[in-house]
Amino acid sequence: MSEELISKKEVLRLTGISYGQLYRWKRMGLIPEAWFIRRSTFTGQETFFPREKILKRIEEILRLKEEHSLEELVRLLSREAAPEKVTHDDPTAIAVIGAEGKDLLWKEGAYTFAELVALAAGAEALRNKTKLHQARLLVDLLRRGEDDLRAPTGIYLILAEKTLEREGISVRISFAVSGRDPLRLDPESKVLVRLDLERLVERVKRELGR
Amino acid sequence: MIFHDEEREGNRRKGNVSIAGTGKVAGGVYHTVKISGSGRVEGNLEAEELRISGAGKVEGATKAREVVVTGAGRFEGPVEAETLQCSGACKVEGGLQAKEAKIAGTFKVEGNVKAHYFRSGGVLKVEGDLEAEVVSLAGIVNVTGLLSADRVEMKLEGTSYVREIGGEVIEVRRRQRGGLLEELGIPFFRRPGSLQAASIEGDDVYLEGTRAKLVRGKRVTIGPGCRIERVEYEESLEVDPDSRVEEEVKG
Repeated sequence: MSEELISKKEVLRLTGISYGQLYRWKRMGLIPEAWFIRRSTFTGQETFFPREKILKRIEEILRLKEEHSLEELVRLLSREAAPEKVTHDDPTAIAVIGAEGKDLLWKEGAYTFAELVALAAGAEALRNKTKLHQARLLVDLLRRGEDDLRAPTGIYLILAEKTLEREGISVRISFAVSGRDPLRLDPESKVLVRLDLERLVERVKRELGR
Repeated sequence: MIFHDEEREGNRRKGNVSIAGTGKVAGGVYHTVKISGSGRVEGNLEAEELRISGAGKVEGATKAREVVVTGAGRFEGPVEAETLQCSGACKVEGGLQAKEAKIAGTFKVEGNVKAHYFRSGGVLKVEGDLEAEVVSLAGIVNVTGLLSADRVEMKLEGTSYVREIGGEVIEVRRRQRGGLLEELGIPFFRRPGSLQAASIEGDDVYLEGTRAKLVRGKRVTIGPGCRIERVEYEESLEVDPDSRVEEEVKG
């Protein structure tokens, strides 16, 4: 199921590039954010990459940089370089979105990374038996959240509902919130789904890296 | 009081607006916006020049060639500028993109910072990543994400935190006596500065006063006042007798 990963150290050893080059290329978007996969190891957090892709990309950069400036390389190579530049035409092919996400789609194709994460959140909600209009609240909340996605650590998403009663009329409202933990809701609100944004982003990244 | 006039630029007319005292202007496209006293821009702002002295607020996105803040500036959306100069207190509630950013005083960004050159002295907080070609920081720094640059220079005062640092040359030094904050006479800052980080990676790494889980580099020098859990190096490692490295790994 998972493709072969390679550690950052191993990448540097095999390709002979420097830390400076790796970070510079990351900053320029020549190495997609989506390829940086964090995993816990016995020495703490370690960054891994999809092996075949990263080695191929570095080989391309090293070969092309003789004749092209780095700025030109960005245009040549970075079709999916930075997550903000990722577009995807078939979100339901991404397992974390899957068939459940089909009803959440709102356009033909060209979904951005933020939009894919939004769909993933909505699909997770649907898998937790929420109603479609409730799942859409999560999707709408996340669609434009590029900034949160770049530093998602500690950010949680909550989909909740509550009932308001006044003069015999009761109204049920649903709402979605995102924020850093601890996120608290009033005791009357019932949490339907709670999602860890960092884990969601990682899952989408990993599947895009395939 | 609010003054309006217009300036011809090519065949496009762009207005100048200046607030002295208290006032507000509608968002839009301007040549120059000056706020002295207290003022706000309601909505997105596009201008050649934005100058805030006193207290100014932009209630939307800011796009300008030059942004100068002396006093207090608050940007309730992202800021995109060629040059940003800020002395006093500044808060950017979206990300910041600039060719050159020079900060003195307190500066807070909720989001990522991308620049060619970023210099700050004082108290800096970035809730996100800070990326530039050259980053030069003095004072108290808090970066919750990745600090990445070809060259990272830090002069520490007080207690700083950066989750991850990565780049070519990384130099972290404790500021010598007579630092900016010490001049203000705040005794708290008389302690030697310190930095805490999860990981630091570079080709040439020099550290002082740093506590880190992992330091990786080609050539690594651990100067005085450090506690590093694990150092992985390729060519050379030097450790000051005043510092402790729990695990050294070559290769």
